[in-house]
Amino acid sequence: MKTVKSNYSNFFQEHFSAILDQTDEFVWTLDVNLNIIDYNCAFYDSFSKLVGLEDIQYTSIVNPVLGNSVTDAWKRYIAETITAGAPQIFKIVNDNPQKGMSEYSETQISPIYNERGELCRFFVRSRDLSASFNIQRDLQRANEELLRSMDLYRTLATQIPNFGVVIFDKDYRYLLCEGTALATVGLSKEHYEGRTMLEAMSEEGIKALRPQYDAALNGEYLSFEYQALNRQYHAQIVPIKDSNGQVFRGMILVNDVTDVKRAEQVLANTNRVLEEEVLARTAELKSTNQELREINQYLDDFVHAAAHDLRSPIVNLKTILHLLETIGDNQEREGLIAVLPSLVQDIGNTLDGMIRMVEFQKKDQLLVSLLSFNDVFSNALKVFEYSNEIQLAEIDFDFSKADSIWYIAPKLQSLFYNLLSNALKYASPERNLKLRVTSHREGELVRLDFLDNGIGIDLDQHRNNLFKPFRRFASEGITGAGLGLSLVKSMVEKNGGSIEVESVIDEYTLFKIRLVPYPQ
Amino acid sequence: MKNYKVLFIDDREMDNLLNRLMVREEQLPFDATYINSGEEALEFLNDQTEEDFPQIIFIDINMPVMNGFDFVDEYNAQLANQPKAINTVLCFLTSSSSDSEKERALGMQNISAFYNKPITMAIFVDLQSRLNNK
Repeated sequence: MKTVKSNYSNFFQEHFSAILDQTDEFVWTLDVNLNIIDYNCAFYDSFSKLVGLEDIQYTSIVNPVLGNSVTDAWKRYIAETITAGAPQIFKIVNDNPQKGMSEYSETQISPIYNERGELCRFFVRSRDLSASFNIQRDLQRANEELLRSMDLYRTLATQIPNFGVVIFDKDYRYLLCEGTALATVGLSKEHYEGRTMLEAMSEEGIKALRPQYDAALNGEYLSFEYQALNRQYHAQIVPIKDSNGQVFRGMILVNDVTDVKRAEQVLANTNRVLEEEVLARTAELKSTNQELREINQYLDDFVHAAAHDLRSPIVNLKTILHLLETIGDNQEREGLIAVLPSLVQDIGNTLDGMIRMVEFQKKDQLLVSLLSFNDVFSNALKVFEYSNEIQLAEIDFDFSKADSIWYIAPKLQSLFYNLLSNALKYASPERNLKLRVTSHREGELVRLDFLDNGIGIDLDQHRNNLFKPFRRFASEGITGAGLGLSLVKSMVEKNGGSIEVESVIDEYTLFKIRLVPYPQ
Repeated sequence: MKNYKVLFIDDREMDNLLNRLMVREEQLPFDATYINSGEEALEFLNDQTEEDFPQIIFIDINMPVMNGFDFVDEYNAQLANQPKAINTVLCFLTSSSSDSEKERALGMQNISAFYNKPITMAIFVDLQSRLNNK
């Protein structure tokens, strides 16, 4: 009570002023015209501000500043008091608390009569009850809200299949217990609603659940999944808070997530399958690309080598024709003429080989297929059909131990072609070529052995160069540019295979080629 | 006029025969030696005195074991800096027509020229200017 600006009539001054200024209540008197006569400090502080006056004595309580609703209300209170002829209590709710009026107050108006029994004053006390009113109102609202939401939960719980909701209070009393999924946590509406956990549950149940309920009532959120009756459930135990953030209830939500989980699983599986497919497809494309590049490179190398192989005999042919024009000696002329067929044969062989190679490349090239060694080898032999060397050679093959392989056709064809060509080139001039080709299984791998009785290779000297392009390892009477072995090596190594060689000069050469099958 | 001392290195019998006949028929002023491989040629050259060392060496490219390029590398390492080799001209004589081989050949140290077979008077005329420049 800061500004003491109270004024009392003599009566009050004499009897009550000291007491009245000590109270928080508004105390004042009105005359019959509703003018303020006496007032205590509390009333003055509030009212003088409200109406903007320093001196409020004889100011009408029905003041236009207060607005119609307030003045009308006061006229009504006074009329009711006069009619009753006794003290009346009014609960006043202000819809305009910004003006400084208490939001909620309780006002008692007592009529005062003089000795002649005439009404002369009204004695008024008001108590500001806003604080307690607000609390009550919030509580009520929270309750209404809760009831509404409980209705909502009830509706949800009964509408959603395999859903459950439980609400309990601080005494572990079940206020709501609804939904078909409750059975999975051992709860039922009939058995639990209205009772407390302590009454309705077994000791074991209490032991298990009480810490969880307590946790929720302490403001913690619990979430877990469990299985029941072959279905997957998700349970949450959560606190419910009032408008002040205080936990006053707990709620259990049970949700059947079996279908969601299943859908997630299916989705994950689908995703994985898709990913795998994309990976496989990418790998396939990559390897197809790689094959294409290899075959292109192979063709490039081949054309280069073949061109060289053609050019050499053609140059010689031209030279001989030129010499035949100038040389007069008959014996020399005949010697030169005798060479011509072999040069033409060289050219023919090279062209045949080229044509065959191009045919290799035409068919379903890059696809992996199950290839019979017999077929592929016979095919390769045909390339040499017209060469003299092969007429005299003794070639035998046995593919009974491993008769086929998943491989890329042109690669295998090229391999046979090159090893055959190699054996023919390096046949010993002293004996007819014997070539034995066999297949063997080595686990997943297939080993092809090419054993010939040719001139052999000095491995001490040539091992490092053996598989490099454009190398030949004998000097006499060998044609060809020496591409074959390097191609074979690069082809078989491309997918993990290998090639190795054993040889004794002038006795034999054995190539062991290990092929890794391509995935089907 | 004295004949040039010339070495032909070519692995094929037929090519050596044709070189020999061409030298004769074109009446090239060569005292020629024909050798079948790079290794033998190196051995031969190492054995030559300054007097006998060839003034012109024709090298085939496509040869087994030691091809023409390998030979030139070896020659450069073993012989090129010896006084007896100072007036010698090296050139390729090959049936190869590949640009990449020609480019590689001409890029090698001490290689004066790249000729296509067969050996002719025209080649010798072209070579003579290079010999005079040496």
